[in-house]
Amino acid sequence: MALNNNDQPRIREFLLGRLTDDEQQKLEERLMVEEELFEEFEISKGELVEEYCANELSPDDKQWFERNFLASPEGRERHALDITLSRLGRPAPVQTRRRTFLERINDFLKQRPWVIATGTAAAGIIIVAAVLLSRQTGQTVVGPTLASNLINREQGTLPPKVTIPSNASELKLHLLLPAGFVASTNYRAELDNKTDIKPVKVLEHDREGVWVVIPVTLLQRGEYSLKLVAIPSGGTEREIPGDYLFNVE
Amino acid sequence: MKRREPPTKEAFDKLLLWFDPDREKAAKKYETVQFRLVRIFAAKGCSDPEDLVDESFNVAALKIDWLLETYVGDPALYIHGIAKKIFLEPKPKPIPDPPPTPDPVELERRSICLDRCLDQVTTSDERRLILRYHAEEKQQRIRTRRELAEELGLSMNALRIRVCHIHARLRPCIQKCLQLLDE
Repeated sequence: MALNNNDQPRIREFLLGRLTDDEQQKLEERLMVEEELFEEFEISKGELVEEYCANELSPDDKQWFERNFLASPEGRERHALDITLSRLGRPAPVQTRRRTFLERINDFLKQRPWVIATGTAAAGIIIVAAVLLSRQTGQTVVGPTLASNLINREQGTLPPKVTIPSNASELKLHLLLPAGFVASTNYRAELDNKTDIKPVKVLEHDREGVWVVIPVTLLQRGEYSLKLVAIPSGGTEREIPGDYLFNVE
Repeated sequence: MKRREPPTKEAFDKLLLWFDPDREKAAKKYETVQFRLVRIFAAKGCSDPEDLVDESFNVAALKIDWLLETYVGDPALYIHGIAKKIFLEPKPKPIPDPPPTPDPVELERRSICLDRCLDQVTTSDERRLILRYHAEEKQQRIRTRRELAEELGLSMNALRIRVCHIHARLRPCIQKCLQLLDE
């Protein structure tokens, strides 16, 4: 049977101990008889090990993973392999000459001529939008809705680009909560610019996500990540897994 | 020591028959069920999943005459049910330590084995792919992998599958290599 859209997150939930007994039973039975699902299970284990090693799991997920899969011989072996692979790959990746940005753009456009037409139209819309926005002063700019990089990584999505008009005072962003995450009574958020981590204001939240607002004085051109922490009433703070990444242009 | 004795040859033959009347196909199915159960129960925190799975097959073998006569359905699911029951039997489960980070000497040994295994079980294209796939961190990692998928004309999912298959070849090779270094 082919995979459906829920299978990948379901497997992650299984590996992180978030499924009920009934849900576990059903998934395990499918794993016994479905080839593609079992393959996805094997891939997800590897990716969670990678996230564990990169310290990208929330403390609760990290502990569960350590006490379950990583306690097995297979888990320990995969953990050791990931550490070895990271060491081998990062300092001096062996690869053919990396093509320049212009070469890559050129290849991309050759393969997809429609991109030129769409890109031109999009550029026109962006310019008009920028002109309109620039007429307003001290405006709050609403940016894109951001999903956690854990979800984006699975889908291969790059962090969205945000253009801030010169007279904007704040950037408002909507951060989506992961599927199945039980909404909390409160949240706090932090902005990481790779040098400093600063708290940012949480405006409001609902079951789907959290709105945060960032003063543009904190945003220069570059890459940023937001970390979201749930604060249940009277409970312990819980980090939302992954980071919310975006690029300011 | 296992509580259930291994099956007699007669019971084992019947067990294979239960999987498939064709002995070759039956042996293949037996191996698949064994492999998947080990992987699933490892993910559930079983410290010795091979032992658990062996014991599950032993239990099935004890009931094989009854199973051949009355059980309707995929044998894989029945064996999974047995394994789950055994796994849930109350027994002391100490909290395991986090996986140890290999010390520099161990890391060096593993790196040597990884180098050797990359030479032995992967093509040069696969080696380049693996090195680039693991080359970056965080945001840059996502970008690199996306570029890699585009260059290879693959979807991100197809790239994940390809890397998973290469890892599956590397892991046993590295284990074997480490054993050889120990000797």
